Amino acid sequence: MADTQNPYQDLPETAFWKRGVAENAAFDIRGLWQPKFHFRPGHKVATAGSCFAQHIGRALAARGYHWFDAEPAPHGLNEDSARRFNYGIFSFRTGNIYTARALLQWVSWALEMEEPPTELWQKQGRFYDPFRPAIEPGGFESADELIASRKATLAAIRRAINECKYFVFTLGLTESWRHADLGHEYAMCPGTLAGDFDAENHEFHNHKYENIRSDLIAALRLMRSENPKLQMLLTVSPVPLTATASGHHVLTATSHSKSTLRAVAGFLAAEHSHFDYFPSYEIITTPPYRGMFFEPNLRGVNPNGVALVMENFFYDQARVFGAPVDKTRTPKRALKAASDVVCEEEMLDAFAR
Amino acid sequence: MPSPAKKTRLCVFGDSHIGAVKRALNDGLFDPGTSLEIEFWGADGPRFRMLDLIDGRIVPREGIEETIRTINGQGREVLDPADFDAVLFTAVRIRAVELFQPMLERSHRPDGYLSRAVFDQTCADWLRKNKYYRMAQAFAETDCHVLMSIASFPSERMMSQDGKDYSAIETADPAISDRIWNALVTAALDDDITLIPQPADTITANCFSRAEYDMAGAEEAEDFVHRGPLYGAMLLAAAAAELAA
Repeated sequence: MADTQNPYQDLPETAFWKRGVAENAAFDIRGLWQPKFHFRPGHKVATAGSCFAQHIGRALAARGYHWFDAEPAPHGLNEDSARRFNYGIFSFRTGNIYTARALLQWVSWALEMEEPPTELWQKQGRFYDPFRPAIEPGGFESADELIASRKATLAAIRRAINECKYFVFTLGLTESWRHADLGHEYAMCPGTLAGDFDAENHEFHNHKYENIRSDLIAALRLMRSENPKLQMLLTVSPVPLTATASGHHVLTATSHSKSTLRAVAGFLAAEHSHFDYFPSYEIITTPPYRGMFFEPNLRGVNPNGVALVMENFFYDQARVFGAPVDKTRTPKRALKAASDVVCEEEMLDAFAR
Repeated sequence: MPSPAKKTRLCVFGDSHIGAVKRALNDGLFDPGTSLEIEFWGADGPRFRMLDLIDGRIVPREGIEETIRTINGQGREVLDPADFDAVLFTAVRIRAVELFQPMLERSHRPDGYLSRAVFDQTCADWLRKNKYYRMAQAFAETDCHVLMSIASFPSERMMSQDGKDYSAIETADPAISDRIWNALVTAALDDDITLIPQPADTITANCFSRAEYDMAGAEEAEDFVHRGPLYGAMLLAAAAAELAA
């Protein structure tokens, strides 16, 4: 029989499960990412998104890269206090941004395309921002203070958009709660951390693939209208849902959410030159890693997992672009241990019966 | 016959800034009268960093004993809060300008707004991170009444002489300075310390000291840091008022 030619013959080892995955120790699997963007230590990088995004900012800073803190803690505030008040967690004090729609909202408000809604939450005489209810422990002392603080954060987002080269956004959820008539999306379900749940005005919404895709495209388009050089690196948080209001089992709801988000991220990276996708999700959740990077609660990611994720990030950057040569920044002390990630969604656990 | 009222034994403890207080007494600008007995203890320059808190007392390291003796003049080798009714921590390397300037500059930025909670916590954290403030906290846990006057703002002459742009500080809302002092006083009170703000009459441009309160010869010496006896007298008067209250 004559030899037949086929496209698989000339593919590298990484194209085959057996040689690219199964025959390797988990920590030896390499080449997962073919980066489109060259991250240099001098480039300003903003991070935002769900809980997992906090690790990326810390790791970049620790390696001497320019993680951009657009809303730094005031001089004099110590590290513990800064963390308690949510400084230095993301590039600005939005708290977790779990969905693409929430990102689009923040960007629209920051770039003054839309006014933020006037809705505020109250609890025991204190005021809470529906779009970042955990940002001040104990809430704000007045509505005016809440608004002034939010304006500062919006100014910080503008600054990050204008000054950064890269915007790293970690997609966390498809599930959300929004105002039924006005459409604005809350950071959390009203009535959980603050506010009052009203079935008439508050509705559950599970974002679909098409909406997530179009929201991300719209968000980046807005950002690039301010800063044409800005590019977005997407990641998908491997952290499962704390709770689901979808009516399904939280395990399958998680799979649905993450699969949808992964599909959007993959599409955008493949089809749009200003998006890329970094596979931190795969490193934590896929079979070769055997779930070893999950904490005992099977949600949190342990420091070893974060370390391997970032090791792959820098390895693939060096593999494709060469080792970094411009050491314009000295490595910063790691901001805080990986175990101290702030995850507002986790408080939903308090409502588990 | 009633016995004479007991004098309040006050120790003025600090770095080179206690010179202003000493000169105030020397020049007769403050009369301790019959109610106050004042003693000094401390060290100047880098020697001030050679003081440690050991078993609740401030103890000099080897090598600065002579400086301590010169400043104290009473043979007191260590500063024990049990030996005084009150201790006035003076300057003690806590420089007001290091908090005020960044806070005032930040107030201009659109992303610089701070909630009251963050504002107050910032002031409290800044104060408490200082080693000498922690000494004051330790003293305050005893029966000793602890007062504190942090290092005064630099002279206004600095604004025209060091080539830097201070417009952001000059044009900041003065209410912010008031808020900072209030936050510092409150934080110190939580630690049982009476913090005496720099007297408003001595301040200009939000965080500079008026030149009339500079120490003698400051201009020739290019010393923007130290105040003179007029300032020292105001400090003593404020401390005495607090002790009498």
